[in-house]
Amino acid sequence: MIRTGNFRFSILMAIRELRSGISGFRIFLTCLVLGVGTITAVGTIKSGIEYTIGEKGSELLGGNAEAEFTYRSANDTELHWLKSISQDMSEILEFRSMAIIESDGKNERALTQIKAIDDRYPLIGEVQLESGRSLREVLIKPKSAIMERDLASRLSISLGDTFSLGLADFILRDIIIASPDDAGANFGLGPRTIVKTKELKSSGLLAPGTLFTAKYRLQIDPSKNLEALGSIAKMKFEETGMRWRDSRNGAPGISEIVTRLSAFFIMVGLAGLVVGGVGIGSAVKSYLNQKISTIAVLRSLGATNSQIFMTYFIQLAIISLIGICLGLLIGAITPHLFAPLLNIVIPLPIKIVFSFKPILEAAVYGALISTLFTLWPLSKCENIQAVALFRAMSLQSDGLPRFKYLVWSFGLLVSLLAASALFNQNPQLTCWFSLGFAVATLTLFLSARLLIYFIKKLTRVIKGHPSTRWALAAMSGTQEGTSNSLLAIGLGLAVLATIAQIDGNLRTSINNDLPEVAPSYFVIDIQKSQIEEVRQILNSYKGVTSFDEAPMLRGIITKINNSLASEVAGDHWVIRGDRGITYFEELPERFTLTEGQIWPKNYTGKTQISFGAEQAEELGIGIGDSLTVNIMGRKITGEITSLRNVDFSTAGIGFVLAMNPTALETAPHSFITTIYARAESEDAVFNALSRKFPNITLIKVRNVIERVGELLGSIATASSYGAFTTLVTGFLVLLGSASAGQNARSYDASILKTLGATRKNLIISYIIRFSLLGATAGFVAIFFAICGAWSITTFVLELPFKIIWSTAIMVVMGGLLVNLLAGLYFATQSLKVTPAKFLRSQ
Amino acid sequence: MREPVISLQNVSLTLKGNAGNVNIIKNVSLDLHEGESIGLIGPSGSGKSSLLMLAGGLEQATSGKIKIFGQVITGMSEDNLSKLRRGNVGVVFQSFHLIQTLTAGENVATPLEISSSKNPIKHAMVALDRVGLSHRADHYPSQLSGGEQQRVALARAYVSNPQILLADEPTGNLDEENTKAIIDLLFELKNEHNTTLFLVTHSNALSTRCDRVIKIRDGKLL
Repeated sequence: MIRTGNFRFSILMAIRELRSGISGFRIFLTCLVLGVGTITAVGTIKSGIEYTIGEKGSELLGGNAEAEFTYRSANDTELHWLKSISQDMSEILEFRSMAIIESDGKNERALTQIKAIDDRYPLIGEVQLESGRSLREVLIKPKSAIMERDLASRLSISLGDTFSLGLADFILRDIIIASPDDAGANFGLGPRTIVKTKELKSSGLLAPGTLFTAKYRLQIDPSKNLEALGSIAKMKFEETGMRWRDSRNGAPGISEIVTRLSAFFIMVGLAGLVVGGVGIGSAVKSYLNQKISTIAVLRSLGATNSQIFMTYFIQLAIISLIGICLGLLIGAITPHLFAPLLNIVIPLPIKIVFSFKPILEAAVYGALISTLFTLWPLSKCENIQAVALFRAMSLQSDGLPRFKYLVWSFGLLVSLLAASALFNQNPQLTCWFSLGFAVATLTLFLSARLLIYFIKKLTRVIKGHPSTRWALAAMSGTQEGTSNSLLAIGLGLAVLATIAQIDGNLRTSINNDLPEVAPSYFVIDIQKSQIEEVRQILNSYKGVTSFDEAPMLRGIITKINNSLASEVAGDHWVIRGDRGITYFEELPERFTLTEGQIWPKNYTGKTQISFGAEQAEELGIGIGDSLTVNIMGRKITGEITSLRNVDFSTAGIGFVLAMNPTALETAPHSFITTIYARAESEDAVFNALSRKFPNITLIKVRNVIERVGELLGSIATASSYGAFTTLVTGFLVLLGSASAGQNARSYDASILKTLGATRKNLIISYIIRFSLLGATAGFVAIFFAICGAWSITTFVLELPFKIIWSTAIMVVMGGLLVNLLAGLYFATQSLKVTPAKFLRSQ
Repeated sequence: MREPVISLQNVSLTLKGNAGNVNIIKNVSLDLHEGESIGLIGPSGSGKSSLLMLAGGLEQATSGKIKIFGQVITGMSEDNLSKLRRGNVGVVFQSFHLIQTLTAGENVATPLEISSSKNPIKHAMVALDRVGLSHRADHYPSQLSGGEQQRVALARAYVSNPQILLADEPTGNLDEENTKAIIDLLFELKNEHNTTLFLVTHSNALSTRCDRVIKIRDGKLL
């Protein structure tokens, strides 16, 4: 129990000791500032994005609310209700197609995302055009179109030129710079083209069965409750296939990415803070070692354990508070400075605002980490007795502290994990990340012990190589901080190396492996009347090695066993949004039956469903369960009678949901085809099909792979930057460790020089010492990274894994170089002092 | 006869090292009475400082019994030993061992602050004045000469009016002039407070002023 008198003495003593300044805590403070600052900055940016999405939700969405339908427009009942709840409404149709230019010697085709608008668009905000004119002004003439600069460049067309969309011709009137609802839109495969819906009537692009999305943007009276309207929409129309969202989450795609990425970055920031904790612990130990005589004097004067503990705990708490406050300040200010850069990366006009939550989160982490890592060395103060004034004594490195300190440490660790799970609202991520980090730390710690063990053995054996022997002896001694150095640099390298291995394997799969198995083209919107001719054309090209086709409709799974799908399956991707649905007479070769039986040929009975086996397991459904699917407003209920394997990894045709033909073949639908062609034939096939069938859309899979690869690359790059902060912290800890050992190195150097060692002998010794330490850290880091990346790539991403040797070697060399540079800098300082000068000062 | 202030009975001290055990003190018995001054002399490494530390409860004996004010202190916890020392035992070291981050006044006040005494600074100033250094109260040890530092240490040792004063070569790091001054001050304070003074010294000038002189060699009293 802390008595008031004891506490008063401890505070007095702590403040008096701090009068001499805090220069001895530079590394302590820097580690804390960096860790807390990173977490604050990430959290502040996330809050800014959330604020922007919230404040500009209507603009991002293009209205206060939106009702979306796939494959169809809203029916009369739906339109009536939407009009009844809104002050204004705009209809937009979105779909993919080919923009074609075939005149004056030009023959170009390019994929485009078409946005067909009505006269009310945009309800909120303005479309920015290169000419500066308004959208209404530009599209007022018939057959007018505007497109993004990227598409115009691909087609090599200028303003005033004519191009085709399907069977209709359009004139390019202006170039789009930005649309207000761009950020809220989904991932698009091609640059945008905007035309008036009425101009597409003759294009043949909106024939029944064409894959398009109809969106109804609504301007709603501010006094109306959006949440209540959403509930009514869900109740009335969820089963008809309407999807509702409102301005409270105007850009769900961005929201989700930001939430997931920021959770990851905060975990990485926390990892950096933990690495910093190693530096904090090391700095505290170093500081307390300097205070041994003071502690011993206080003991001789009658101070108790608790008085001494509280004295230094209060001191370190004050310094931690300074570090945390500085970190919070820097972390809160930095996003403001980098806001313009952020706007380039994230397509939102981000407004960085003051937000209490990221500051609280970072402060809590900072406080817990600094307390956790100071507790252990502080507890060792109890071992310092008054007799230390007569005998050399240091804070014992080995041995556990007393039980109560172990309990406190455990409590702090649990609090840290709980805080992390609470703040990022992702207990699973917290658990896995913490587990991975704990395993990495343990591996490095055990590696350090193993290294010291082997070095001790080796030291006895080495003869005739004094530089090597000095290096090894120093590494196995307590002063060198071998464990701390390995932990510091190893953890940062491990995080970076793991990201690099995962990213490398993902990119290899996407950029190298996938193109080898993926089709050349994905062709959509082939009408039933066209499919036979498409087959004939494809068969006529020798360069086409194979092709696959399937009928395709799109629908939403609304019920599972008569209960709402959202209640049964939660947020599973299969029931989220619309799904591709097919039918077949016989099981195609691309599927393997795992359970049940496919309907017989010419089956005309009740609707039967064949479902993806893996997805069924995830949803907890199987043979005998019923699904209700809404296709173009029509409900179809069927029983699952078979399960099959669906392989998406080849980027070929893969449908989770299939039905017997009589259930679907009379519904308006189109066909899709995947074409596998030799590279030299791809263009010819593309031209032949697109000329013959202007309404169909050919998607070059290689372009999609590149686009996805770019996106993933950006994420990996950003993740690497995050991991880099961990490495920087580790480097600082390393500097601290190197600095702490300088006195010992100076002593050794002075004695050795007195005995005849040259500077060259000593420098070689230092090089061996630091290279060995750095290389060990690198090897352990890459070992951990390979294991970690293998398990994530194999079990989470379900991709083949190969060691990316180039990054592995870079990690090992990086660890070696970093440690060598840090160590040599301080070591060479020791060589500058003459032996007499140093020894006299002792 | 009154009970000794400090009593050592068959006390031994063995330290464990990497090269094996070292017997520092071997079966020593010694009584120190109230108000007397005892000088401990012996060659280097004979165990003088260790015996002094044992007597003051600053070191734990390996075997035997040590009593201070009739209370057995062998086996006592560090915290209880610290509490016992408060106000009862003052210590003066050869290397002064002032806390470098505290002023002279704060150094002297520290024992009083540890025991939560009232007006520690006021009493500290009185103690500093007694040793002639009240004008240096705000100076740090690095700003004081060796002799001045030892006088501050003396003031610190006596500020709580202890019954026992342990001094380990208090003049070992001082020149001749300061040595004489410190010796005079040491015995003046001892007489003023009727303190039992137990000191280790190489100095004849110091040992001859003691009531008793004990010799030690190889951890045994001669």
